[in-house]
Amino acid sequence: MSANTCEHEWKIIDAKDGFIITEKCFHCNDIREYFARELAPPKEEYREGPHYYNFMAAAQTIQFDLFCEKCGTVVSLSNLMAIMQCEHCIDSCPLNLISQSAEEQKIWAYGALCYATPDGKEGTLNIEQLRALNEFFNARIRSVGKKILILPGFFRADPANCKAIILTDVGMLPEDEDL
Amino acid sequence: MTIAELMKKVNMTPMSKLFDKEITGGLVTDMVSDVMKTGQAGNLWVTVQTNKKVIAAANLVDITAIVITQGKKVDADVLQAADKVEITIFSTPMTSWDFVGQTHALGIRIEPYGQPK
Repeated sequence: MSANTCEHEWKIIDAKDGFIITEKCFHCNDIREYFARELAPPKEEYREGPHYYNFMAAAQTIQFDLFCEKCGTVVSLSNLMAIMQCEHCIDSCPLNLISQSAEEQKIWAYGALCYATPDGKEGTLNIEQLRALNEFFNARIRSVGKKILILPGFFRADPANCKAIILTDVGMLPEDEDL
Repeated sequence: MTIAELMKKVNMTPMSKLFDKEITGGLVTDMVSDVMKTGQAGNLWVTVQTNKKVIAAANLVDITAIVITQGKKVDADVLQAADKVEITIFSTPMTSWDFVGQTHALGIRIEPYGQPK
């Protein structure tokens, strides 16, 4: 069956446990995040070009891809950092507006947060990734009338002050620190 | 077995509104990432975690109820969030180990980190 006509049946493959590491350059205050597949979060200071990065925080998480058991399509989600749920902290935030109106129809909206692109811009999932993630979670739902809606994380109006619930595991290890 | 039927047989008390649903099995873990990875619709989630993240993760994979073990207290805002998404939160004084043992004896299979594929 071709990927275009397939009614995909997604399953998680290549699930990797690891940490979202947040670091900051103490010269220019650049903050960056990346996925580290190590048993403990790396905390070493290091220099990269003009930057001197210091460890700020770590949160346990998983990284995974999706595989269609019917057509064999694989969708990589290596740029997906975490899934978050809106806490309605800013009235005018697009994610809040969509979440609140969707909830009235038992549609539960979540945001997909991504790692920044190599040039430092906010990352986002492409349409193929978003579609696969939505299909994967909705295929698991059994409650009548309930749906999940995964939206791009850039719908947040003010990421720096956003109070969303981020689905990572924090405080589960002695060396684990708050994200 | 439904949640209401299980309540009659195991020492567990609803802390939020009771939504009686069919139980398909369950998982015992304190990690939300395990639930996202292996949680199935209709599962009971047995945990000591009482953070609001638990509700967001459970709702994402359509967990039927959450059982907080060791009698841990749950904040009112977490209970309200559970009501909103129609997931019942139970409290039991038992450890996760003892709770899983009792439900297993009743034919409900609760796996560490979720159902085997």
